[in-house]
Amino acid sequence: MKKSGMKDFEDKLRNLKDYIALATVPASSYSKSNKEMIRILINTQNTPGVYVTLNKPFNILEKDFKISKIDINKIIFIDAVTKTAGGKTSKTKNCLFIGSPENLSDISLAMDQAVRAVPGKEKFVFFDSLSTLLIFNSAEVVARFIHFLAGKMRVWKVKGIIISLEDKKNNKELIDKLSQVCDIVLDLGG
Amino acid sequence: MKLLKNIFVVIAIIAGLYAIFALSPSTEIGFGFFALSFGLLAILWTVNAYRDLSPNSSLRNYTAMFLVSLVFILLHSIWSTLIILFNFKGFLNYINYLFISAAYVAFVFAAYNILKIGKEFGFREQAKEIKKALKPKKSR
Repeated sequence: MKKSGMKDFEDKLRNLKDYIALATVPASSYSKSNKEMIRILINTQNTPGVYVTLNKPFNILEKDFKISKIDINKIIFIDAVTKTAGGKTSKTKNCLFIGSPENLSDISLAMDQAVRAVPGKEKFVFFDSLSTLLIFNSAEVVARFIHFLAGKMRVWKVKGIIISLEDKKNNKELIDKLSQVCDIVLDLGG
Repeated sequence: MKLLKNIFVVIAIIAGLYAIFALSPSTEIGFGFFALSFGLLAILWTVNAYRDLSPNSSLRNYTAMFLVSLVFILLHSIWSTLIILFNFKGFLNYINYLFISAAYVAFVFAAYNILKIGKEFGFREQAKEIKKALKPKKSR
């Protein structure tokens, strides 16, 4: 199922309690699209959740979200970038810094604990992004991980969003494979 | 089908335990082999888990320490059985204490690792903050 644009994200997924969406985003609007999806989840739907970032360090996201008036107190961040880049990595009020995007065991453990800690019935898991995971791991490992993650998202009963950059050369085959385990594929390029 | 499989597993375990005690020359040695077989199973499962976990992950480090503890406990069980079988005396008896002490030391390290994992991956404080943020703000 292929839907296009941010409006579809809001309209089609608004009434669903739990789902797994694979969102493909062009590199040019990657940052804007991510912020918009989080703004809808947090500000419009009042849904707390977990943001897993393999791409941008937490301090950059924090600044971006604050500028966009997104209430970051409703989000637990899991940052797998800062430690690799050698930045400051002590646990903060909103964020847990873990190893590197290669360290899938710690990512899974952190996600499981964070999702279960988030109060309320409705929550989201935002995984940013599949493309970064592919830089650090083989396509086969990434496919297995996302398959596992999708299974976990069903158990957690969350609104799961997996972000992938639009990269027809490297991601196409993987996205085709993973779209089978997702409920919806959102093309946010339109 | 699953129930049938579980029944079969339970019967196999009981038969195995019966065989251990029936074939052992004494009850003490029987318990020795009993401990050994379960210890080996625990080590096998832990080694499999260790191999599956990501390198340098917190869980893998914990698993490694847990494995060391299990190995020392198994060595303790093997040595205890050997003491009974060959009637070791004196210094050879004390080796057993070394094994069990080393097992406890490794357990302390494993416990410290799990304490660190709890602190690192525990989100109790963050959950409180989210609860606060979710409460509707009172209008004046």
